[in-house]
Amino acid sequence: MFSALKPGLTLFAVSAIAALALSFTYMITEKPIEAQNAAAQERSRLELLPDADTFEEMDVTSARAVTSALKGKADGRTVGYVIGISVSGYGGVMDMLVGVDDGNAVTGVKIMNHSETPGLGANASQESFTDKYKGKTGPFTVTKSVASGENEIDAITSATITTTAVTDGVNAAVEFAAASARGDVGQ
Amino acid sequence: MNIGKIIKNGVIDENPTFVQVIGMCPTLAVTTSAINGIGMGLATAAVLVCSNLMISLIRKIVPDKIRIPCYVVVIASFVTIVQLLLQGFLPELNKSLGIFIPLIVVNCIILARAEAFAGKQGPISSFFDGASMGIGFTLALFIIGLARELLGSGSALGFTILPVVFPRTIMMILPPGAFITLGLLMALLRYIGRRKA
Repeated sequence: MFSALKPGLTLFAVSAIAALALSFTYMITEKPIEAQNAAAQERSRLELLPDADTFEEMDVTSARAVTSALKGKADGRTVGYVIGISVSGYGGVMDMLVGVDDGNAVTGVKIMNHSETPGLGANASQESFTDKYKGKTGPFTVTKSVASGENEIDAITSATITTTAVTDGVNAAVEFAAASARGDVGQ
Repeated sequence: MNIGKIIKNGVIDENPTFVQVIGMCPTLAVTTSAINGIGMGLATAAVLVCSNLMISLIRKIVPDKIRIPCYVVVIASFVTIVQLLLQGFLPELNKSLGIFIPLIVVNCIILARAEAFAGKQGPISSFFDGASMGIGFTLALFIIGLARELLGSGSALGFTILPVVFPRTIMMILPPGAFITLGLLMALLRYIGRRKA
C-alpha cells in the first residue's frame, strides 16, 4: 500500500519545498524588483524629456500603435510627451518609447524590447540609428538610397522591415502628440 | 573519483558542446558574439552547480520512478530563483544576462548531468562535475561566439578588430553561421584529438 503511494508523496514533498523556496525568494525580491523597474522607467523618461518635472498618465484608447502615454509638465505647462509604442518588426513585437516636445519635434527614441535579427535589425536599437529622428517633426519616410530630405530615414542594411516598423512607430507617436496638443485625444 | 579528473572530463574529454553535442538550442541561438557566449555559459554554469549539488543530496530519498520530474522541479526552481535574485539585486548584470536565464530551463545539459552524474555520485564530486561542465560549456560558447563575431561583425568582445576594408560576412551571425562554425570547430578539435592519440 505505502509503496504505491511513495512516489506521489515524494514528488509532492519535493514540489512543496520548491514552492516554498520560490515564494520566499519572491517575497524578498518583490520590492527591489519593483524599485528597479520604476527607476529604469524614470531614467528613460528623464532622458527623453529632461525639462519635465511631473508626468501625467494619458488616455490612449483609439490611438494607433500607442500603448501608453505620459504628458510631461513643468510649472503647470505641457512641455512634451513620452509615448509608448508597440509595432511589429521583422522578428516580432517591438516596444519603444518616443519623446516628443511641445513643438512636435522628436526628442529621442528608445527601443526597449525587440526580437530583431542580431547584427541586422537589432542595430535599430543603437543610438547611431535612433538619433536620426532627433529634433525632427516628421512624418518620416524610409529610403533605400541615400537620405536626402529632412525627414527621410536611411534603411538599415538588410533590415528594411525593421526600419519601416520603427519609422511607422515614431510617426504614430508624433501624430498622437499633435492630436493631443490640438485636444483631439488623450484628455 | 578524483577532482582533477572530473574537471578535465568536463572541459576537454567530454566537453558538453564539442564532444557530447548537447544543449544545442542555446548554443546556436546566443553565440552571435563572444560576450553573449560568456554570459549564457556562466548563467548556465551557476544553475548547473546548484542543481547538481541539490540533486546529489536528494538522490537517496527520491524513488527511481519519479526521479526525472523531481529533477525538473529542482532545475526550474533554481532557474527562477536566479532570475528573481538578478532582477532584484544585480540590475546591471540582469540587463546583459536576463534574456538568457529563461533559456537555461530548456538546456538539456543540466538534466543530462543530473541523470548521468549527480543522481549517482556524492555531493562534492557532483559540485565539481557541475562546475567543470559549466566551464566547458562556457569555453565552447565563447570560442563559437568569438569566431562568429569576428567574421560577422569584424569585432571581438565588442571592440572592432578587423579593418573596415575586410568584408563582414553577415551570414556568420545569422543561424546558418552557427551551424557552419560549430561544424568546422568540431572537425578541427577531432582532428587535433586524433593527432594526439
